[in-house]
Amino acid sequence: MTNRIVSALAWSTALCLAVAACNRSAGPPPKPFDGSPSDAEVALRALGDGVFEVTRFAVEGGEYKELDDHVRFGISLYDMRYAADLRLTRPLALEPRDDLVERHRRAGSPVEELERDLALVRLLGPGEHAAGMTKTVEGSAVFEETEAGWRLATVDRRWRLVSE
Amino acid sequence: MAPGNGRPPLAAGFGMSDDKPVRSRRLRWKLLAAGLLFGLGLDLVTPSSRGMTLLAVLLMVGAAAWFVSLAVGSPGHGVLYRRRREIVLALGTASITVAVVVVLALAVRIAPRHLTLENQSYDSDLGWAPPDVTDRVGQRGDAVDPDRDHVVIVGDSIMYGFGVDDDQTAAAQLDRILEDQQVLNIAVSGYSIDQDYLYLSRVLPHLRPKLVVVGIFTGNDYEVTGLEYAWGHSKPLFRAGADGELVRHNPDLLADNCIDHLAQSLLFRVLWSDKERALDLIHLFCDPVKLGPEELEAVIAELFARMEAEAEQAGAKILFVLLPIGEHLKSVERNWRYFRRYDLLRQLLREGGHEYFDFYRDILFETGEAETDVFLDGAHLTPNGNRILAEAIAREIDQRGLLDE
Repeated sequence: MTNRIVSALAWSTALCLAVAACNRSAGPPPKPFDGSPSDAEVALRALGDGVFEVTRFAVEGGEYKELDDHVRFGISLYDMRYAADLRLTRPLALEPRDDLVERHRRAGSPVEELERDLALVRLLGPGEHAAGMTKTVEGSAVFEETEAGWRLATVDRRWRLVSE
Repeated sequence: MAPGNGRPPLAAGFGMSDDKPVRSRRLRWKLLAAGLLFGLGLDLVTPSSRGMTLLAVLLMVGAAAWFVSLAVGSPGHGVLYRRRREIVLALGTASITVAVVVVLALAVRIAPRHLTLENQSYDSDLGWAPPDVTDRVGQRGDAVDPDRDHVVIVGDSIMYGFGVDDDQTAAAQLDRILEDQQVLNIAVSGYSIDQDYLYLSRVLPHLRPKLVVVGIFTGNDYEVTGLEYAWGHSKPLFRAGADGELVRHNPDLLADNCIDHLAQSLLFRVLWSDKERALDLIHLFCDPVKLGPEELEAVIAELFARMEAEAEQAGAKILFVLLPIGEHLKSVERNWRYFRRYDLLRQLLREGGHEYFDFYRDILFETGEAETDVFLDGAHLTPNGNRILAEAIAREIDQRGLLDE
C-alpha cells in the first residue's frame, strides 16, 4: 500500500513538473527590471513644472504584468508603486473637470494646456490649493519592456491623494 | 504448484472468484480516475502554448485509452466486455471520421468573411484592397473626377465611415464644405498604417491631389502595424533595416502561408464565430511575427515620413488626424495602455515634424462626454461624429492654409 502511495505521489509530482515546464514555454519570461525609478521622479517633476515641486519620492514596490488585447499585441510591463510629497509653488484654483473643459472650450485652448489641467485635476482634485501646501500622493509608474530594456511609459497610473 | 502456496487462485484473475464485488469497486474507481485524467487534459489545453497543448492531448489520449481498455477489457464488465469488438469498431470509425472531417475542413479553402465585403479582393501587396484604382478608389468606390483637384482621405474603417451611409461619412461631408476640390475617400476597413501607405502610393499617381488627410486610429493602428496579420488574414509587415530603412517582411501575401491557409479554411470559418479561439489557433499553429516596441516605432515613424514624401512628390500637402476611442473622453481611471499608444503616435508625428491635430479635443469641446452622440460603438463615428470630424478637418485646412496656392 505504501509503495502505491509513493508511486502515486511520484507520478503526480512528475505531472506537475511537466505542467509547470510547459507553462513556462507559453512566453519568454520578462527581463529583470532594470528601469530607472528616477525616470518616474523626473517625469513627475516635469509635470509639476511651475505648479509644484517634488520634495519626497519613494518607491514602494512593484510587480511584473503581462497584458493582452483584442488584436493579441501582448506587452510586458513593470508596475512600480510610489509615494510622493508635492509642495505647491503657487496658488492653484482647479475647477471640477466639466467646468475646466468648458473654460478651455470657450478659450479654444491648445490641447497641451487642456491635458495638463486635466492631469492636475486628476492628481490634486478640484478646489483652491494654497501656495506652500504639501500634498502626499500615491501612484504607479508603468515601465514597458522593449528590445533594449525597460523604459518609462507613464507616471500617472492610479493616482490617489493620500493627505493634504 | 499446490493451492495454498500464498498466490491467489488462477481463476481469480478472470472474474470467477468470490472477490468479484471488490474488483468491481476497484474497476469503478479506475474508470473514475481515467475520466478525471481526461478532464484534467481538457483543462490543460492552452492554445498559447504548443508544449502544454501537446501534453494535454497526450494525457487525454492516454486517459481515453485507459478508460476504453478498462471498460471493454474487463471480463467482469458484462455487456461492455461481450460487445468489445463492436465498441472498438464504433470508436475507431468515429475517430477516423472526425479526423477526416477536420482534415478536409482544413483543406477546403474559401474566401474569408472579411473579403466578402463589397468592393474588396485579395491583393498580394496589401492583403485585401479595392480592385480598381484608376477611375474608382477606396472601399466606397468613389468615382474620380479627373477634371478637379483632389483632397484624399486615407485610413481604416473610421475614415471609411463604417456604419453610416455614403453621404454621411466625414469625406462626403467635407466634400460639401470644400467647393473647389473633390474629396475622395480612399479609406479601407481594417487597414493599418503600413496598408495606408501602400494603398496611398498605389492611388496617388491616378489623382490630382492637393491635400492628403490621413486618419490614424489610436485604438489599434499602433498594434496592428506591428503584426503580420489582422482580422484573421495576413497583411503587410515592414521591419526596420539596419540603416532605418523599411524592409518588407512578407513581400507576397498570395504566396502560401500558414495564417491564410488556416484563416481561409472551412474549419476556420466555423471557428471564426469565436474570435478569441480563432486567434488562439493562429498563434498556436502559425506563431506570427510581432515587432518589439522600438522597432515598431521606428517603422511607424518611417511610414509617416514616406507618406509625406509620397504626397509631396505628387504635389500635395499632408495632414494627419489622431482619431480617438470613446473611452478617451471619460474622466475616470484612464486606460493607460490606450493613452500610452496615443501619446506615442502623437510623439512620432511631432518628432517627424508632420502637420497633425487631436480630434478628441473637438469632440470634447463640442459634446463633453456624451459619446453616444459621436460614437456608434466606442470607435466608429455616428453621422454626427463624422460631421464634427469633417468640420474639424475643414477648420485645420483653413487655419493652416493647406489648400492655399
